[in-house]
Amino acid sequence: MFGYVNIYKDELKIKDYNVFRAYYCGLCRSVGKRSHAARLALSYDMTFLALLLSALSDEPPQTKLMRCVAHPFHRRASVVCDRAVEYAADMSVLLDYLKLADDARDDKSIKAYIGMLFLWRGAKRTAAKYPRESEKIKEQLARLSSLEDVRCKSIDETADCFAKILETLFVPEFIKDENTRRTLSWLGYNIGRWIYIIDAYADYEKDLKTKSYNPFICADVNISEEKELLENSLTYTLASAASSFELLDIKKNGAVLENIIYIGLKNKQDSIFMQRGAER
Amino acid sequence: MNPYEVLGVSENDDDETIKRAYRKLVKKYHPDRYINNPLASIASEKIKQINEAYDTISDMRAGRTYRGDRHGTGQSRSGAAREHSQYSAGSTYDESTGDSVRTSFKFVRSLIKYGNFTKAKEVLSRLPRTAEWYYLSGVLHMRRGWYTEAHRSIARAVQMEPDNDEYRRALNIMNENTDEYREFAEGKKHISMKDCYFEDDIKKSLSLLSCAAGCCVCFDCYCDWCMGVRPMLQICRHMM
Repeated sequence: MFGYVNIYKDELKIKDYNVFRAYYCGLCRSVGKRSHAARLALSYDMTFLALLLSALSDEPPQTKLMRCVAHPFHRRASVVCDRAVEYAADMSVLLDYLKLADDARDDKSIKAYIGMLFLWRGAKRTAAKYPRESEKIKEQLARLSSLEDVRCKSIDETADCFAKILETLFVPEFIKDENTRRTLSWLGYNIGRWIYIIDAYADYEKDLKTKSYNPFICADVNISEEKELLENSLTYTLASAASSFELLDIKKNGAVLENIIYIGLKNKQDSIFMQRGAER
Repeated sequence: MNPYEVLGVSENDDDETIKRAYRKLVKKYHPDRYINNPLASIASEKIKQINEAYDTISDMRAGRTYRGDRHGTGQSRSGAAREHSQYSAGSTYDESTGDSVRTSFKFVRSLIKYGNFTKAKEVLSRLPRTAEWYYLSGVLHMRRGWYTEAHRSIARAVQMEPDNDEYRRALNIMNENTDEYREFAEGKKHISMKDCYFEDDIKKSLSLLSCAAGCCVCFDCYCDWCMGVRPMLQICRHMM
């Protein structure tokens, strides 16, 4: 994905930051077990998913000090044997692969074909393990491409496709409680929607140059004039994500998750809006 | 469940602390924060639990019951019902008109209430575009998470009928929830961004200094770049 969902480090306690890093490291290792190439595309968004899903079970996280290729001299704490981390790793590989497949089909991009070649084995295994998720992602990516083809003007509608993907990813099979599932799916929807829109907003100039699809260009909105409206709508999306997060029964990792939802996301949004404001 | 746990307080806390915790929780799960939200029912369950817990604690402390929770729960149920009915009476629909368009709108409202959005959308598409049409279509968009569209529609409804309290309220709540999140987000921070001297230059110069001194104390040395190589090279991202 895009790495928009991240912590805001300056406001984290070191101990909480270490928790975040241990999950990040654990996720990277799990992804590596599936496909080494996918480790390169590891994103913070999936770390958030691992942290969140792991927070719903009350077992304390098991960590181990380990070295790896990227950090050969300094051993780091890494979360091991956590099904949330394993799940996030599976989804990370699957999503990366399907996204590449989608790019390859749409743009006939050589890079995407090469990437697919590396990810193919790992992704095939995960897709067999998660048929429901894989179908859903494919379906929504196809819907997104068809909306792009007709140059869809509605930002809500295009964002809906990506939001639906995250909605699916946020609700793994191993979570049984019906209320928790509903809450997670709404949280996923809102986070997905936010990621898609903020990404489209950040890429506006680039897409204008390369003539790629961007809902803001097609809707022909003057984004400097509608900036406030857009900012409100995005903040409302975050508010909905936050209010669903509040309903979850969080057993651990609370400080990190709150940092991401209340400060990390908001800060990212503010900095992207500021950047664009300065360009003008 | 232990009522003290529900409120997140300890048995030794005084009444004032418990009251404060209770108020904070009620504010957190307040029905206004979950209006036109698919999770509204879960939030109202939470509120109910919180009310029950608070009622039980107040009863226990008033010395009214020593025979376990039974009495307390009975009491609290009425308390929760009170709270609940107060908030679910939000709809201010005028039933006095008998005309067919009106009844159709009423039908759409009940469809939305029972969660049948596809049908609601279908019925709505055949109706004339009055202020109420825009309002209801806004509510439908809200439930799906299409906030840009929702805001536009509800704003349109308010523009067409500025005196209608229901439409105005929906728009206000949307804005209030946005502002509340902003406030919350600001409140979670320990330092406001304006006062954060470490943000820019000072932070850089500090870490440069400490790197030059050969002993890296800056937090950023937990960064991916130097964690692995730090013991050998003392490289910090800020030096590059």
